[in-house]
Amino acid sequence: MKKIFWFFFFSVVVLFYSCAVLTKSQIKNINAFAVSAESYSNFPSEIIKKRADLVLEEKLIGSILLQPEQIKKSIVKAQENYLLQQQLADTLDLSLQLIQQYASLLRKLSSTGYVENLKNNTDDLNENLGDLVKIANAKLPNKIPPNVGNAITKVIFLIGDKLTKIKQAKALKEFIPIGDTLVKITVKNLVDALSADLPALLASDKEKFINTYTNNIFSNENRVNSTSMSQYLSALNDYDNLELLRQECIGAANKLSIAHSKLNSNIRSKSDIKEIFQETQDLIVSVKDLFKTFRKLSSGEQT
Amino acid sequence: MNKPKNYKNIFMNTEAINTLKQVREGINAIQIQLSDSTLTKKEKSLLGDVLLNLNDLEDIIINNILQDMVDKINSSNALLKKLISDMKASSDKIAKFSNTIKKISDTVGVLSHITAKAMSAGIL
Repeated sequence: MKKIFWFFFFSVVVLFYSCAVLTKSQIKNINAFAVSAESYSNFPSEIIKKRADLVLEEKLIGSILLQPEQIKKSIVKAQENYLLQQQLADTLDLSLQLIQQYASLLRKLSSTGYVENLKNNTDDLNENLGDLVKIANAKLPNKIPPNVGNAITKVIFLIGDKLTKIKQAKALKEFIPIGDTLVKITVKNLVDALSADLPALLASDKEKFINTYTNNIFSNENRVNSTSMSQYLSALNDYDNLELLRQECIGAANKLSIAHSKLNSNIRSKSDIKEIFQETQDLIVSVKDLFKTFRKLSSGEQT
Repeated sequence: MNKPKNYKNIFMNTEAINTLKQVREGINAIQIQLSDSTLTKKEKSLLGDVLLNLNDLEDIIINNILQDMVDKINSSNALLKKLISDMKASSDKIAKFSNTIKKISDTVGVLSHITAKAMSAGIL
């Protein structure tokens, strides 16, 4: 009878410990992916916002030769259009905000936050059980081993910790494959949208700026000075950087999709790669490049 | 303010880009005309009105292109929202489970504290 009990006891322990939890490297990779995805999501809408800045500047310059009342009207319309395009950029952000939320939930579901809550409790429990054992040993003839309180605390914590981690792994294994399909769809939509008409539009914007500046500033020698020439050069650099930002957004979006696919295939297996996946590293590099180009755009630096 | 959605489907986007090109050529031509110093005030005013109208048309075409772009990017939002909602629910369930274990630990702690007090007071 005793043998059967121990057989069942060990079977339960083996079954319990063989239940899949995430490896440390998987958690590390989920976090690395999530941080990069959250950072990336800020950039695509910046293309529309920065373009709106440049267009507003061009529209103001293009109003110089109008009559005073027409200038006022033109400024009001340029500003209205600027605000509308900022709103459009914010709505473009919606899908990327959802990707951000998804990444943030991946981090939450893989975090140790759930079990840390338990850890905080173990000290109190250990202390209370320790006191009880001391008092019982002082009163009872049969002594209880002094470390029994610590052992009970550990059992409660270990069961709680393990079961929580099993639940976390199960949730991630359920959601990441669904997320993979949706990340792929969102990235494809984003890449298609950024590749279709936008390059032609940005090229046309730059050409229009050159024409507007030539017609309104350079055609009048009184307006040509170091300030106007510097403004012209700075704007041309901004147009080039904007096109670069667009290309880098597409590149990084594709890398985001590839990195998520790697995460998806890895989460199904129990492989324990010590490092961050090459695919995620590529994504991190792409996001860093995006940040550099964005900074150039904000500061008016040359490419 | 222009409402780009009202102008949806007026242009296919390739047509929109070609139309935009023509409108911008028109804007360029008007700007060149406006810098002609021999023009009368009335002629300048008329050209200015044409320029403002072309600017409006340009804005409509561009906002239409951008709105199409936004719609395309956001077409999978409903599915993403559903996934996020499921993930939040799952996260809440795990947090609730963790809290249940915490409560068990609390209860055991309180019980042992009471038992210890009772034993030291000689009740047990």
